[in-house]
Amino acid sequence: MNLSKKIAAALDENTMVHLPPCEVTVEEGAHRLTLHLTAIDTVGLAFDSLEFVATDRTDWTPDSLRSWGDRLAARVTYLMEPFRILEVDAEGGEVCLRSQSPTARNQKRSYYEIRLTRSGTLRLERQTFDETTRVRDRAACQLTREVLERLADDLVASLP
Amino acid sequence: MVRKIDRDANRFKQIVRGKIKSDLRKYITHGEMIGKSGGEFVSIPLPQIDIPEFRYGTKNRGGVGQGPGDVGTPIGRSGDGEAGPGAGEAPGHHILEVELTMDELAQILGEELALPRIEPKGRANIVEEKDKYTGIRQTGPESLRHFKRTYKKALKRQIASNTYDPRDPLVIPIREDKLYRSWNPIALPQFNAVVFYLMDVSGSMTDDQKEIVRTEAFWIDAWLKSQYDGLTKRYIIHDAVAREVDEHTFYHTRESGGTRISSAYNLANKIIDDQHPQMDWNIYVFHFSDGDNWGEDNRHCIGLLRDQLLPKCNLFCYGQVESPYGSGEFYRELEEAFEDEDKLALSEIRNKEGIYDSIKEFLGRGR
Repeated sequence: MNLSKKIAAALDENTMVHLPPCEVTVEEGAHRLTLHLTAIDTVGLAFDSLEFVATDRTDWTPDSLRSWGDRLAARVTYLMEPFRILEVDAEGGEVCLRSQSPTARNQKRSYYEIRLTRSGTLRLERQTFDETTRVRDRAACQLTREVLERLADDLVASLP
Repeated sequence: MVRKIDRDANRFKQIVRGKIKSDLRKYITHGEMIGKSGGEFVSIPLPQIDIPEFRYGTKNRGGVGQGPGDVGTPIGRSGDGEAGPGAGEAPGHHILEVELTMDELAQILGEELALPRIEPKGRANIVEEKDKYTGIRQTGPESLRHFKRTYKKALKRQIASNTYDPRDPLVIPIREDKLYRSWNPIALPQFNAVVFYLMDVSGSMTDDQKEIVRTEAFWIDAWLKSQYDGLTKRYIIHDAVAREVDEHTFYHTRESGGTRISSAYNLANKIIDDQHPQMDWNIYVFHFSDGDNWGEDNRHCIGLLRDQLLPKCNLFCYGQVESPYGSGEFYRELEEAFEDEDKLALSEIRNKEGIYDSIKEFLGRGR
């Protein structure tokens, strides 16, 4: 069973068991996926953050992180906002990807942000900047279950 | 007595100044004059002012043509001949470019933004030698000849030797009459200032944001130059690592590294300690970033500011330039950490329109 099937099964198993906010973690081989759920139903779900860890490698070089970022940006193109690598911190061992263009709606600008760290961790969040309060805050990522499954597979497939 | 043409020229200068003052926000926002500045002067386009010109009367129109001509050919009269092709349709372009010195520009900026004059801190113990024409001597280059004194001396000699004729007042200086200006070096104590421009050039800073920084730095420069005789500029760029660069590199570099603001603060602090002791220098730091600092670096920066930079600086200004992703958290962190700090000026620059108010915020403290 691959990671996408596992997360689908975990969510299907008993949707009512997951009373958000809650944390759902599935593991398949050397890959672990954790969702910080804020809402869930039979069609889709919302989460604060998604964390993916490749546990078989612990010390990623800046080049391999960049390569991972490039492959992610090329594969994950179905979230309405394509990704691009924004910053590569060679010293700190971190890569930041963001949506190429944030989505503006109701005086707010929202975008996805992915951070890859040298420990082989990927963290996906959605940020919203409120033009009126001038504050940037984390927002929920809302995906259908099918998109989440596809994303889970692509996270694994994008590993260099 | 003031000549009419001088009065007219002064009047024209006043009109130009008034026009620049009234449109200052536009000039600051567009930054178009930066490319036109060269050394001491800056050239400003003023499309709305008519250039003074001669207007001819109607009499004696026509005139004489050039060339040998034939005997008996009548001279044409005004009003004869065929009509031309008619007026054009497009409006004429009549753009006047006036040249101002940087000092004049700074003065206009100061008046319009009501900027207080800066009170330098510390002792004026940087001594600069300047040559001043204070004496007279009998030798020197002809370009420095003192005409009035030379004339007087020649006149005295001619009167004394009875060669001066009031009916034919011809005074001819000989070699011994000639006097020349001479200079002496004078030691002038000066307040010197050093300005540090720090800019985040990480991947999240776009070209538009850098253009905003460039425009703002130009005006800050103009003002500080008018306030200090000796102004030294240092440029530091940073992403996760900071380095000192020249002015051109400062404005034209784009990196894709992460953001660690503390790297720039550390470098600025080191340069201050090594080369610009606070007893001798008025120190200004202007830092521009989108505020997306990484990790725990914000806390580190606040520590550096509190313990190192702020005690040494006249003024520390932080301008947060908004990116397509909004504005980072660094501004708010500084705001919370230094609520009542006079030496720290903060400004959020949303777009080019925000430059005007940002300059006022930074320079309006008279520090």
